[in-house]
Amino acid sequence: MQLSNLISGKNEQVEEVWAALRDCAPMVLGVVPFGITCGIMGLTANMSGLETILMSVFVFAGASQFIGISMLSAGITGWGIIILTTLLVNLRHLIMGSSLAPYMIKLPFPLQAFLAFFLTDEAYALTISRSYKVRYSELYQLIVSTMIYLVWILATLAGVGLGSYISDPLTWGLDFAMPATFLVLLIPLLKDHISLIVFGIAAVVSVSAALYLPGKWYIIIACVIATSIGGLLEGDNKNAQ
Amino acid sequence: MNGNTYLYILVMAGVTYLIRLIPLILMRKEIKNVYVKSFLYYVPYVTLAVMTFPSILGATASIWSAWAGFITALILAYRGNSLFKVSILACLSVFVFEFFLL
Repeated sequence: MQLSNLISGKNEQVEEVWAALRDCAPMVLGVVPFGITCGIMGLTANMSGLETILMSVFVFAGASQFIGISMLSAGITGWGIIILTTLLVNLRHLIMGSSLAPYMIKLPFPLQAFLAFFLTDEAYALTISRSYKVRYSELYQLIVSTMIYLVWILATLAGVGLGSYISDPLTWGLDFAMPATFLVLLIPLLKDHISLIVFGIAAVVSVSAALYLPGKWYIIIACVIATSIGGLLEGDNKNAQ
Repeated sequence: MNGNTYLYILVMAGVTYLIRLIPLILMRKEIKNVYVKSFLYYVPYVTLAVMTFPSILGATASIWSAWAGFITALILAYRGNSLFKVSILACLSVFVFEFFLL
């Protein structure tokens, strides 16, 4: 019975599983070159294979791992700077978490805390897009998140194991899959003039800020400006209800 | 590297996890404020936009192949093609552009 449900896709939960696996495939494609690069970078920075892999297992945050490895390599090991840098690089997850929190409010707290560990840009993008287009599903979020996590670790392992045999994975062109996927998730959401304005402002501010600000600050700046304008334009309209 | 590397990893993991967990700890009740709701309503639009731009224009070896991939992805996404199809074809267009035209 379960097998026939699985094949026909009738069961709601099975549908969520299929949707999650189908949707995270292109994200996974984009994650692989970054994971391999992370593995190679760890070895280049004189970290052991085990240390590099454990960093992917426990930290699971691409940008802060790259920066952390670079800092270790440069001999910067002050606790204050490590904490502050990690905090600043991941600050955007505070905004993403706030946006997902109203959907997760009904889940038991241990499950919320478990899902929080896997909150990455990619998992957030897929989950929130699904929530807007269909409905929020913790099963969908769980599968998408754990798939990306597993692929990230396996890609780091591949980078550690095959590092010297692989040319720079970021030149393969596969990393283009990630922003392309974000674009596909975004386009169907742009249904009214306010969302188009907000999107336009976010894109312009983001591109401009990235030219002048270091690291991921452009994300924070664009988020604050564009969402505030969106909130003001929306006021007490129906979307806010 | 010394033994501190493991501690360094644990601290990074702790800080990263706390940032992900804090919104869930603070937002334990349904939000009633309309303006906060409006703000949160547009967060996905903005985060998706900033994760697309500027990285979509800088993820390739040249700005021209990036534009080729971006326009391919835009047209296919607008026509309602699947995530996987758009991503593969956009990557393919970047590869073809860089391999044959540059």
